[in-house]
Amino acid sequence: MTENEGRAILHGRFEAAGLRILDDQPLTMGDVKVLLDGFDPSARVGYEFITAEAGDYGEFTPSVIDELEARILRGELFVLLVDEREIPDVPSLGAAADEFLGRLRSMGKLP
Amino acid sequence: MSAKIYTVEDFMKAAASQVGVLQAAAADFELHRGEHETRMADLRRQFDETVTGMARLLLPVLSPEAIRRAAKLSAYAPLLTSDPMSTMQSEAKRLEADIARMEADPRYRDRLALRAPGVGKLARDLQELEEYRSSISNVIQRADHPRLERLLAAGYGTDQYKVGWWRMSYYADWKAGDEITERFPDWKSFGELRTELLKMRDDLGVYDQRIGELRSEIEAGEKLEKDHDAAALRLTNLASIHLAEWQGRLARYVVESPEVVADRLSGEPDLEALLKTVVGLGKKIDYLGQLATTQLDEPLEQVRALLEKLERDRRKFTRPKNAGQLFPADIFERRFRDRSEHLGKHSRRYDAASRTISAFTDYRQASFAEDFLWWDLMTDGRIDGDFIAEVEEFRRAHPDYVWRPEQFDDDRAAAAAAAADREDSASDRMTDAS
Repeated sequence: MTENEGRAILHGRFEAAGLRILDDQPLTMGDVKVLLDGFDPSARVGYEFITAEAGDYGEFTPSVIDELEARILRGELFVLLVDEREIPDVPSLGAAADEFLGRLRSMGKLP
Repeated sequence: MSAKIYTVEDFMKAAASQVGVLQAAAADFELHRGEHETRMADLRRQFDETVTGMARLLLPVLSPEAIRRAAKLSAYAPLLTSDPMSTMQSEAKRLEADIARMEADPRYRDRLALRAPGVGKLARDLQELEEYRSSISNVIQRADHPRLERLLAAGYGTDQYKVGWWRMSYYADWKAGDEITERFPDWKSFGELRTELLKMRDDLGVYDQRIGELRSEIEAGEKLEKDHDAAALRLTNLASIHLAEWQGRLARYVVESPEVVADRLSGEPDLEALLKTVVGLGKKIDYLGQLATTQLDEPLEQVRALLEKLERDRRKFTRPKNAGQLFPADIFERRFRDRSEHLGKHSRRYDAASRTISAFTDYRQASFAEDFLWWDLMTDGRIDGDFIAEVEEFRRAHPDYVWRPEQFDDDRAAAAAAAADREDSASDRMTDAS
């Protein structure tokens, strides 16, 4: 699956959930600034499709991921982190996005 | 010599014609080569059978008397120095001791109780363990999934599982866990299944180790049985085995030193005839081998070289830049002279000599005298054998020699008398030595 194909699937699922996803949104975490593949700034929900093709492994290093996860745990934002190496098949990506969004809905983070 | 000048067209025609002649000659040589191989195989078989037959006649049984007789007739020293009877008796004692030791070994003594298929203890234990192992292995195989190892390592289904719900892998693990658990209705969760799977893997390791030990134990017992049976078989046939070994050694000795044996066989007409047959068959093999080399192989090699050169030249003169080449008559005519007569001479010589040599069977006429030439006996002196190294050397060493078919009749009588004298004195020496 290419970077664009993965992003298209995620974009479609997040938009279908009522989010207004903006592509390549900057996110600053202290001294570190990263670009999220898709993000709704008002809902503070988005996704990052991490691929070698996009050079993401240099950007989303373990320390960056740790910082991002700490913010998710504090409820500051919610980002679905998709490592291309962990996708068993194409349908699984869409299904995982739906499960993630359903969970946010049950937490009251989405209408 | 002709003053004519030949063109490339003439060259091509003459070359095509000569290629035909050479190819026919090559085919003829190859055909003869095939027949030669068949003839040689038959001769080698006859030679081996005759040598074996002679060795059996020299030493029919392994007894002190038979050994003394064989030593006297052959002068083969190891028959006396090696003491074949004692050697055999020593081996018999060793084999008896080995067999007794193996029969006292519980692995042999209790072989049926231990290893009889289906009833032996080890056999049953192994079968039982393999059945357990198979049932466990089936369960483990049923749980096989591309993500199984990851789930087990990450502690999926337990409190140790720490993957966040915002990660794709969380959902992939969830899906894989459900797919695996669905295959086992008796277990409610992946956590339960995980515990059982890990336990089964441990059990499998234990079973595999025990199965390996049992198999080693069974194999060691089976090897002991084989060793025992081999030793018992050898002991049963020890006399014939040692006899065959000594006959084989005698046979090799006779082939290597026929002249030594020949001196002692005058009172043993059957053995003498066999020895002459052995030597004669050896000569036949040698002569026919050299005949094939000089009259078939070497000419065939020359023919192939000529064909290759012709082919190279034909390609060369096909090129436009060589189209105007002219050939002086003397060179051209010498090169394309008719070779069929010359080539046919080799095949005819091979045919004549090989038929004559092969047809010869009256080995009794031979002599072991120094100035005796087997080639002349076999061909009755009618075929010039100078292309055979032995014949050429013999004639050089005996320049006054002339083949006379009857010449060895007197020699044979004289040799028989001399041998009888030697036999008497040798017999005395043997008696003293014993």
